[in-house]
Amino acid sequence: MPERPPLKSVTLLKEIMGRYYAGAEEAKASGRPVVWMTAVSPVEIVVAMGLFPYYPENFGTLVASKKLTHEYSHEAEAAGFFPDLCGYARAGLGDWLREEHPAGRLVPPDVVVCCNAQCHSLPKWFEVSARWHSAPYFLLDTPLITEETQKEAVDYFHEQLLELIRFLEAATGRRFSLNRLVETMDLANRACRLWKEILEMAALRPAPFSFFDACIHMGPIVTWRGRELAVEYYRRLKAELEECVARGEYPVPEEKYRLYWDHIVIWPRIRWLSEFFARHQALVACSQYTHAWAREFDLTRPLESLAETYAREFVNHSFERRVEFKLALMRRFRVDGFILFSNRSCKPCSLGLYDKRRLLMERAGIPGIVLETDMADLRYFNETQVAERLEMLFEQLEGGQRT
Amino acid sequence: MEARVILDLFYDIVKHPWQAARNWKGRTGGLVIGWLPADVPEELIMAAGALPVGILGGEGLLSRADAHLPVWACSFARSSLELGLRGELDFLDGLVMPLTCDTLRLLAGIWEHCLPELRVHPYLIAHQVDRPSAGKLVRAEILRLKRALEKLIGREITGETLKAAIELNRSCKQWLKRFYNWHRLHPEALSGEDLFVLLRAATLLPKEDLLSALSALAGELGLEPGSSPETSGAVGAGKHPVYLSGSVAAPPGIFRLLDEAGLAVAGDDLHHGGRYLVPVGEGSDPIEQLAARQLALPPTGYLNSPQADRPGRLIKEVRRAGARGVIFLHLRFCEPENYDYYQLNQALEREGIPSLRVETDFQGSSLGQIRTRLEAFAEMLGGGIGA
Ligand code: SF4
Ligand code: SF4
Repeated sequence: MPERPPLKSVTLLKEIMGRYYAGAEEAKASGRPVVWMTAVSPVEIVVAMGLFPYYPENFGTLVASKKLTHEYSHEAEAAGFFPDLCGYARAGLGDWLREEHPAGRLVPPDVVVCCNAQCHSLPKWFEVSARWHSAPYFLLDTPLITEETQKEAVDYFHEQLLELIRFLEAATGRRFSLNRLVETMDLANRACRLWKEILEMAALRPAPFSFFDACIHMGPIVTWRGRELAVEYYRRLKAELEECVARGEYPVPEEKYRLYWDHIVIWPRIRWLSEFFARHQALVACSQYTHAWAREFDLTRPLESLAETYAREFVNHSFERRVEFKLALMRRFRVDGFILFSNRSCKPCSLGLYDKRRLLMERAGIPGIVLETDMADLRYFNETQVAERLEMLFEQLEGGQRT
Repeated sequence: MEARVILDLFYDIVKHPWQAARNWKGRTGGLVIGWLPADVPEELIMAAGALPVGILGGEGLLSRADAHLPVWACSFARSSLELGLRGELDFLDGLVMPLTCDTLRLLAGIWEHCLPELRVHPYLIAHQVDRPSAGKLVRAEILRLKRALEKLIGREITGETLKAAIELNRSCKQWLKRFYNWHRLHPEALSGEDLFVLLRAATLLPKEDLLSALSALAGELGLEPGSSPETSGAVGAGKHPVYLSGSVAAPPGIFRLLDEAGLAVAGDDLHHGGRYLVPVGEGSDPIEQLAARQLALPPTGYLNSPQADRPGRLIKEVRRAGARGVIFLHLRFCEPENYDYYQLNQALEREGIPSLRVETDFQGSSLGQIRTRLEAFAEMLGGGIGA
């Protein structure tokens, strides 16, 4: 079977991501408010109000992909931040504190909206930035969802959505319309559905699409969610992947193993990683991370549905539920082993993985490892060690340690 | 009894932190409920007829926690989990974990998984307090904790018992504040270490016992029961007044180093210090009062936003306490403090208030160096540089 050539959609991807970056600058120039937002937050409200949603985390990935996080961090550390903080935050803070901007410009906010369903690093970074830029700041506070707290947590989130709308109206002078919100959510639904279908294509055997592809192609589902462009993009990507299947082209043509990768990718070494797995004829089929945008809103209850969806972001659940989420993906994608990425940058995704590894090995009956490194900062990436850990997993897979 | 003898008793309690709870449990057969910092309403636990016990990390080597938490988890989380894994907390009938920072949010689940017999109650915290929604969450969480406790004890917590618990706790806190001020005025009679031993013991003893021990100590020290619990007067001669900032100060030996360096604690925002001492106000609806306290608590690492202005408050508090400098006592890998330091430090620099940041852990690995730095800082304050 032939190896899949690079996806042609990458050209379009670059173009629409370029439009996103240019769009932020244009918005700034024309006086359309630029609203800083977190990747997992109800951007649909901001889009429906005609504001420009901007994602500083995406800037963090840019800096990381250019292997510059430690350099940006240098300025942040000199100013009084610390190297153990999230690499994205250090990149963003460093960008404001430094003179040179080789990763482009982090566009300053007019309004800051921060949802802490993912983590409490984002609020810290966004708060400082809001002060620096004298921008009004809104925290969409998202308590942990457990069996016992879900009602309190979702009700609280819902109430805050109403507060958010009033806040945005006051901060920007623009009106909110429920009809526009439903239209936006409909567009978000269509893109999210396509995104999910694309991710699920990795369940085919062999698969035309891997986790590494998903990391590269997830930009639009974050930045253009709620707009036609995202729908159009994923429609084309899906069509291209269907053609790959028809032609029999796969990223890992002779799939020997299928793996689950927990959490985000190591941005500065994504290429190295994907080649490493390809050499071992292993397809990394899925990750909870990329599935975070495979969601569906109920348009008959727009605000309630936004609250339920975003408050229930997968990292915002109890230990046991998160183990079950991982297990469900492992089963659906019929993986042979798993890698839990313990990412120094990201405590909410990483603390607890040692115990989760044991549980998952028991429950799924497959081998798995915990990989200690960082998603962004190369000072914490030791290639020899990472390779050794991964080799260990492959040895276990080789030894047929399926129980 | 002389003051020193009473103080020694307090030192003993802190040295064997769980003994008082074990004794109480043996004597009364009551339930003991642990809590982690910060902001758990002890009063509800007291009203349930149970004994609230503060779990504030532990010294000693970490041998078991490493299998569950990476080395870059904060020293508080690691050493507290170690206590549980070592079996030291087996006298607890429940543990209330406030979900303040990401570490505690995650630790709650790890703890539940590793130590299911200790029954964790995750307690949601509002991370914004400036909008009406926060009040609703806080009230809902207080009521949820109340229901959980009622289930545990098999009966209802009445408004009357809750009011009485609030009263009792308020009296304890007023006494503690008087001692705090006493330390400011007479650091030679009541050292910083003494003060923080009292504060620690306050989270370990049954409050009735605490109250009588504190008033006995007050009698010996000549501290008037009617004196105001508020900060007032200038710090005693010969000592340099400093303000302490951080989450949990550790190891406890750090306070002796401050004393030895000639520093007096004029104020602090520590989770087991100034923050703990904020009492519940008076009013007819005790649940409402508990909620009001939570909402009125000062900004801290997990609650700092342009609205809850922590840098601004720090400056105000430093001045109110008459401190001449700030010492940041930061626990290794404490994320919220490591984020806030920049803003706090900037604010202090703008105001010309000198500060020193020391990083510590419960294992006390760098105390030698810290001593030297504290001495240098004290010397600088004495020289009036920057003050
Ligand atoms: S990587 Fe983790 S800590 Fe950093 S911004 Fe994302 S969710 Fe937050
Ligand atoms: S506030 Fe700091 S010390 Fe306390 S649990 Fe969180 S990270 Fe650890």
